[in-house]
Amino acid sequence: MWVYIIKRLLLGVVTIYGVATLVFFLMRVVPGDPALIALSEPGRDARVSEQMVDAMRVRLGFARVEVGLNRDAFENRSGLDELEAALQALDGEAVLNSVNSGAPLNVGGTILKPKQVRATVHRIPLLTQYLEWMWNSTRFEFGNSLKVNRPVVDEWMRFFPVTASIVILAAGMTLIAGLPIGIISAIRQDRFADYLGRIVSIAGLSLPSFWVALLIILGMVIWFGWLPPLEYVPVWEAPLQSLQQMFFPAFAVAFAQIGVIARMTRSSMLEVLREDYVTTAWSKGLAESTVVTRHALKNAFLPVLTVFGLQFGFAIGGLVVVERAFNLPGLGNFLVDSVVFRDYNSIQATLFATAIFVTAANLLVDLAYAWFNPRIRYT
Amino acid sequence: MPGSTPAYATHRSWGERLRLFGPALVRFVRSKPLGAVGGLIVIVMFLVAVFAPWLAPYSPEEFIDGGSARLHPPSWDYPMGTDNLGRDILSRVIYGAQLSMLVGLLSTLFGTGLGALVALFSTYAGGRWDLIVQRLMDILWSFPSLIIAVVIIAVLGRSTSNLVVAIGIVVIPSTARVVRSTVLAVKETEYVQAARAAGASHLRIIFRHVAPNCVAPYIVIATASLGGAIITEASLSFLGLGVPPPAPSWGRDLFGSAQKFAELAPWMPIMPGIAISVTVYGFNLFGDAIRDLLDPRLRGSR
Repeated sequence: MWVYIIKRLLLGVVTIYGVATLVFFLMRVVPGDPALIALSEPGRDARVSEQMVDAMRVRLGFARVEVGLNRDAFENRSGLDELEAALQALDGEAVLNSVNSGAPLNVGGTILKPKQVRATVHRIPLLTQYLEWMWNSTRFEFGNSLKVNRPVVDEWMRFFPVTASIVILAAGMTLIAGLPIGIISAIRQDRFADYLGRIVSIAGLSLPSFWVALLIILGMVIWFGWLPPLEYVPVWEAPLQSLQQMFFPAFAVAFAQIGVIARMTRSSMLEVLREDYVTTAWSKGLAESTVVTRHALKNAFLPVLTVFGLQFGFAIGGLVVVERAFNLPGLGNFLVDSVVFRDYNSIQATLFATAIFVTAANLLVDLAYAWFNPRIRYT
Repeated sequence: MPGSTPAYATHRSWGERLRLFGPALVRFVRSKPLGAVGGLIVIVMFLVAVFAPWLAPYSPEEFIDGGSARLHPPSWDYPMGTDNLGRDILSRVIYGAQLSMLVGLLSTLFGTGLGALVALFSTYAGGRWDLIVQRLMDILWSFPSLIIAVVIIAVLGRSTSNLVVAIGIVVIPSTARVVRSTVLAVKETEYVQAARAAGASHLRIIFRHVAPNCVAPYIVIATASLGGAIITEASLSFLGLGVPPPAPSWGRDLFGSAQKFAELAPWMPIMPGIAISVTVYGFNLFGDAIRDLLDPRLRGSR
């Protein structure tokens, strides 16, 4: 068991670094100069100077600033080495910005004029960029969001609670609704309940989650005069109100998953119900509920669990559109906004983080699988 | 070429195949009525897409009467009503089928084709190649499908061909997985070993002996992916990352201004939504039936 867990953990780490590598190259195959594209988006200054492009390259991690003192501009040339060291300890990007804007710079109490400071931008070689990116993503340092100029991670933490609560609610709904529908479909095969269950589950697969979300909103608007709340309420402030807000988005996300889980449960149960040990259980005269839950479900659950884990990624995809439809301040909405704004730093971070979540979820499912399945547990 | 055809081969002429097709179709409809309904929906949607210019009463981007026919409810003149700009929604839905079908089909072909080819070669080669490709697939698999499509569009820009690439990439890992398991099983069979012993080249073994075994699982996964591809296209359009306006697209037409006018004109979001749902429903039913027919492991279990 331990060997298996360690092996899976290591594989997970390899996958995550692979993800980081892919994200790195994805952002560098942008046709044209990403710095130029990021600058040329509407909503930013129309005139693009060489200085701005250089500054953007620094912000994107494509270039770095080399700072030094312009020694000719000093009358008194003593103690300049200490001053230079203090200057170099500052954030290169901030120094570059103040030099470009002509603002005086405060270095440890000494006010420097822009012409006394030299800030040159150097392209970072691709390999160094790559190593830096890998190291930074290990520390969850993704630079500043280009849109609001705050650390991406801080932005992330602002949007995370919404997304997390929808995911948890939706996962709960999926299991609570999907398993019983699948089980009933299987034990009443080809009867009315089965057809009903199958229609529900294939409808879940066929109705895009944004369409379900839109139908809910439409229904509420037309029949109850309700509008999607504009102000989001965090869970810890008003749990009940938050649940009210999260219920329908979570349902829209879960709807498709319920279909998948119900179908998987049904086919898995049908297979197990034909096994000899189930026939034995029946012939022992056990109650239907005992046979179904204790003998059949226990074994039929494993493939369902695997599918549940694999579906996690799809559920997150559904989340993006559902958050958009309900206008919720979650990570999905954040990602789409970042894409529209060409906020590469935020896109990179979001892509990397979601991949980690999916990998972690799959890992947990695999471990749970091993736990439930003695054939894996004891090898 | 009768001379070169071995006596044991069961080659059928095209005429014979055509004659066998009728009864086979009847059998399919009898045994899989839901699948037949799905197939019918798929065919109708393709016909609608192909014959859109003849079927649509108006041009999809035309402002009827100079834009004065706004927000008409469904009527004989406008069977699905008109939108806030005075465009005929039925015509937009009909032309929207073109985009959905085109992008759905091409992206599925691209993604499943690439996934199948890669898996075919890497699994056949085995060892290091198999391992590398498997890790790559794990990495692709760990991105939520819609999110990777969104980011690819962000990187490449909005256009129909980029949509095809973005949606296609999503289905590569699942196809590769399915094809890999088939190749693994076939690779060690006696007839492959016999072919190798007879001196057949690797390429010949792959295409003559291994690939034909992958056709059935490939068709299953490809038909199953179609519905998802159409949903992904609609989702991207819904997010404003599909083809740019004013071109008609189901996903975009049911959001944006459609949502603003939902209370006044609920037909604006509902009509394209129904089009998406019915189409995907058809593809899913059809895909299910194909899977039941071609996947012997599942045959009879549902």
